Amino acid sequence: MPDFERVVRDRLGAQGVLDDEVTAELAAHMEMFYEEQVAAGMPEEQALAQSLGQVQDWVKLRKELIRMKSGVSERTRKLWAPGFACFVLAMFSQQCTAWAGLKPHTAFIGTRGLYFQFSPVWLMALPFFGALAAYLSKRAGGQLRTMILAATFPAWLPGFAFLAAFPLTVAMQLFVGSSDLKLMASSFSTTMVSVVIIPGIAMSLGVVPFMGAGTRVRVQP
Amino acid sequence: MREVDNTVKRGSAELAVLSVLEPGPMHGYEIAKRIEQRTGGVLRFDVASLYPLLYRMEKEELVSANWDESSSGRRRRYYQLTSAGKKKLKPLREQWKIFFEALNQIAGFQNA
Repeated sequence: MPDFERVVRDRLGAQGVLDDEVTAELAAHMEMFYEEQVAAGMPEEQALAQSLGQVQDWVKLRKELIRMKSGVSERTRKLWAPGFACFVLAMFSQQCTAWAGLKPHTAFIGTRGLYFQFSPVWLMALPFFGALAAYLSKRAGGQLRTMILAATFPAWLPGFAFLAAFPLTVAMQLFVGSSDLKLMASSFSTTMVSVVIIPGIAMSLGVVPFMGAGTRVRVQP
Repeated sequence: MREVDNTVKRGSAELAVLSVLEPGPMHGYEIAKRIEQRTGGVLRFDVASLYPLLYRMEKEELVSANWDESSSGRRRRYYQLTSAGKKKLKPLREQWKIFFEALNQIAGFQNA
């Protein structure tokens, strides 16, 4: 029986480039094929030639395997990278509005003292950042849900942080005896509306142009 | 209007792999054999075509793989559908059905 692992490693030129597991798996496939052919009565040389003949271009295969086995994951390309790009743009532009001296406006919601603060210029820019994230996500093969998650990443990231921190803050305040829960709830609501809900809605608007159900098949000549 | 996603072409090989893995885990050689058997030899995967596909599907989290001992006592890498793979199978089948129906309207397979 030929040493298929060595043969595959040599032909692939995989030493130090590809994981040993890849070589082992490909070798196992060829070994099984070889054994089956020999068991069916094929001469060993011919069976070996046919086993190795499954790969016409070893260099091309090596390149493909390296491409598939390395690099960023699909989730990173579809969600994290577009989301992070959107996050950086949103944070940077918010800082720019501060540098430009644009003070945030305050809007009251209802009569219970709930309000949110916003910079109109920044808020108007958010759908474009969301659109960029949705575009990058869709280009990487992201579905609608992933596009929305990527586009609203700068909103839900602090949203989760606030949600996680709120009970902890309440517990600490109760522990030290300063228990103005009404004030804490009001401040929490204001922060959630200002930082999470309103910006999240603005950024998710950017997904709308990319919401087509599917594209028609392109027929190649 | 019913439309087919532009990933149909790429999805044909994916559909074959996802379908044969539906009943349970298999190693690469078994996947190739099963596809060949079930298509009467029309679809064949060799080492060069199968493993880049399997690794891509693994990267896309449609399948997961683990090393295990086969019945012959040898170590083999077994692939199985992930929940995302299971979810993808149904719409992929539907898209291919639509695609063949559309082709049939032009080429008239049933009248041939």
